Amino acid sequence: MPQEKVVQVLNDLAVNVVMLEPGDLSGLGQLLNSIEELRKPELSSGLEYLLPCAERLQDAIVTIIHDEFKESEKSLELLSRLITEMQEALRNGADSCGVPDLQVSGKSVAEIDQLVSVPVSLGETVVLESADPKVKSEPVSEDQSHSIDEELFAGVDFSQDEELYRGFIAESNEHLDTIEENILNLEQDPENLEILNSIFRPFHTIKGVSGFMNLKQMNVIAHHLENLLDDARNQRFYLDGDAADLILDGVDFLKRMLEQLNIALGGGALERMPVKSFLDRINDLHQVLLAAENPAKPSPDDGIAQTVPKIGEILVGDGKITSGDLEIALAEQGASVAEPEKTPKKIGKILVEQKKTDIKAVARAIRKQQQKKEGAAGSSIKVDTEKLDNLVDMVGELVIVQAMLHQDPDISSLESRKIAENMAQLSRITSSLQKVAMSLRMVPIKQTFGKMVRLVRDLAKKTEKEIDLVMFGEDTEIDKNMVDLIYDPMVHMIRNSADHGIEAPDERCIVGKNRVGTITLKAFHGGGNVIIEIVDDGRGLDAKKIRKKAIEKGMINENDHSSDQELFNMILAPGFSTADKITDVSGRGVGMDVVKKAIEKLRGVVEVDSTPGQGSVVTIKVPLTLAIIDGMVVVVGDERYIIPTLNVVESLRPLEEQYHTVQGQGELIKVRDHLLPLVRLHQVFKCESQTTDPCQALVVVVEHESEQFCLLVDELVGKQEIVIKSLGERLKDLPGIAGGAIMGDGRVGLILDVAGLSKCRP
Amino acid sequence: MEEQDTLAEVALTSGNENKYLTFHLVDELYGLDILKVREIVGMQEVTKVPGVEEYLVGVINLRGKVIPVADLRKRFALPLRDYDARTCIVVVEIAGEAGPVVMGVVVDAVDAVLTLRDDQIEKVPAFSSKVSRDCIKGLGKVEEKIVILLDVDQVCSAGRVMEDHLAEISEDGVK
Repeated sequence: MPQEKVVQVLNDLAVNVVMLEPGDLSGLGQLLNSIEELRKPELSSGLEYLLPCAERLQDAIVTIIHDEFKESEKSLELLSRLITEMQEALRNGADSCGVPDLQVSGKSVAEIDQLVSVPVSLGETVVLESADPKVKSEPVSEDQSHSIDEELFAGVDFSQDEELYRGFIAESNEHLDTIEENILNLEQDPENLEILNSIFRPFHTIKGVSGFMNLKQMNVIAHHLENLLDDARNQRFYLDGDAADLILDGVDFLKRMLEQLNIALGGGALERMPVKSFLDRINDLHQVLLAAENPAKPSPDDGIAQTVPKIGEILVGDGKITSGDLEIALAEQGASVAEPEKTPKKIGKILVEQKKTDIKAVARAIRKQQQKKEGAAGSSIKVDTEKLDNLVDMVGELVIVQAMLHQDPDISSLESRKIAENMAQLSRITSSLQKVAMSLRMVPIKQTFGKMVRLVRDLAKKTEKEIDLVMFGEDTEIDKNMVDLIYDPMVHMIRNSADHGIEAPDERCIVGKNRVGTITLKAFHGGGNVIIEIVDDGRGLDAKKIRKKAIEKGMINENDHSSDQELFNMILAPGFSTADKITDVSGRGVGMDVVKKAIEKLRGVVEVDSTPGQGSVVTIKVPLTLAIIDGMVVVVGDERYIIPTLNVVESLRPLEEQYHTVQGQGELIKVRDHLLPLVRLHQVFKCESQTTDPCQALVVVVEHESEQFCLLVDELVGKQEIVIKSLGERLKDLPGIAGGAIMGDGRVGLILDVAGLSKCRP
Repeated sequence: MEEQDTLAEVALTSGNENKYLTFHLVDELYGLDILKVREIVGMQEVTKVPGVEEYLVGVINLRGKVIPVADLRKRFALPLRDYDARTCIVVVEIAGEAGPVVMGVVVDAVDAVLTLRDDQIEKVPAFSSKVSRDCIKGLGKVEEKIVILLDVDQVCSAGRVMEDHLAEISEDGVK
């Protein structure tokens, strides 16, 4: 008997409501579950008149959970009254077997509605007399009930649980990045449920957590996007084109909200965000998508951002088949697609049938393709960077102590084989430990490359071009700090390639190129550096135009015989733009010198090369890490100092005729016909030096921003790789000192700041 | 100055106990709040850093971290002498603008850890010792000994030295 069951559930509800304390979230959750049960068709059949009331109850509880009710005591009282009325109605219904009188509850409902203050959206179901039990309020309208366009985060107390909010920001940003990446994957493969799920889940998490944290607007947006995705998951439509754009916009929107939240945490002023209009956009598109019947399968290859290589391409790349073979096989595949009855044959199968390759090679290719899709899904944990730094410091110390032990005359005088063996073992372990410790900070550059996919996609749309982005060496590792710093320069360069490099599709056709332009991103290690190449197959740079512009700007004169190569690199100079028109993407000539500056700050180099009509190559070369530099160790007095090798030009012991003093100019050293000012380090640092006569000591010629000068030092010890250490807050901004380094004997050496010293010149 | 006095008064009325690390400097016994002390390391070679206050004698390598070291004799303008086997560096954690800062303090020799009730601590008398009054939290009395309790945050804080020197000069002038 369903009715008995309903009575029981209602009784339970009544008891639970009475027991409920204000603010007891789990209790409210239980209530929700009970009501959910009540609304199941098998229970409510014949008792449909209870449904609207139950729905009311549910809405009310949801609102309480969202803390819309200001007076919790009162709201709980209302809840219990509502339940009592339902119980009564049920009893009356059972007694009279007629239409139960729910008029009384109508009053409570109105009261609740007043409290919830959402008369409109619930209006459809509010009329109890004519309530149609089948009308389920769309989840969409339910959440709009919040006054969305109010100020962001109104009524949220950030002073409490600040850490919780910060954690939420970090976590959500990560989720959003995942979503972004997967949306782009989905565009390649719109039917892949696995990818859809991996977009759905993070939205779900954000929705849940933001709801819990009382961030209503975020919650609503995430919720709506989740609904959209849910329908896509149920294959009611495909997410492509507009929908993917919308979700990407949604991701951006949520990211902006997170930024706002961050500002709010810092007590800053917030900007208003058009939450309502964005919601409308989602809903509109959702309706449009639902309305479109029999969803057409979008072609997976929309001309943009091909990230997963095809089987055929992999086989060709592996040298298993020739591209001619592939074309024949593709033609056959095309023919088989034409027969509607059959499913198209897989390319691998055709190739095997044609005996072009064996099944093993195909299997290997498929595995390779899968790997590309999934990426290396190694498990990872998050570690505080401070802990990591501590570990690296400790390992550094261990290496020093190990070296000291190794060189200790007492130990080496012990002629024990055992000790010798153990010492060797110790040094092996420490050196591999050091390698591991250093590698902990390294992350694959994939993360940065992944962001470029989105960028190229957007740029292609904006400039109405068709651009493929091909990436190689995403697993190349680079220092975590570096990853963030290299992002902006790369964006600049890719923008340039997309905007100026790649031609419009029609133009490309005319010159006989593929309609679709290709930008290739490559990363690899070379000579202790990470080298990143951005290659486009666009129109290339026009050396003549650059020469003209350079002459105009007075950078070279008419008779200059700079090579093309040199000319190309002039585009990196400030204010240099060869673009005829300025677009909103690039072209103001500020981009390139910013890139150059940024890369130089990372102690790296940028080079540009180009072949007219075939495209250009931008090569960015940066060190693997910012923590280690090559340094020249010098001695002044009792102390050792390190000059970054990057700044060192040469060192010499000047002859007497090279040494000059000029009135008002101080001391000068003549090096290769150039008179360079001399900076006496012992004077700058006010310490005793072994010799004060430059002709007895050594001078090191250093360079800062193409200005050269000489440093007077006592001795040159040698070149060494050193780990840069900060001197701490107490000793920051010292003139001429950039930091400290632990030397081989465990003592501290100071790293010279050549830029700072150049100001000490007399 | 007033704030210091009220603090001392509050301390007098309550009967709390605190622990102090005591150490020798010239002929006097000094104390540091034990909660500020991280560890004690032997004297080691210090790398001089140019362009800093005189009393900051340089930096050392504390297990991979570079920390500045202050010489208390120099800080309080006491007679200097060579470091010996008993000289050590007390590593303290002081309050900086952006969180705690780890620093080393060179002392002649560490003595013991002393527990002092608040009623054993007297506020600084009006006449000043050689050490400027800002840096002294109070005077602890145990049996016949007197321990000068230092406020290590003040001792090591940046930009204080000039003031202290001026104070000393003017005091000397008064004398």
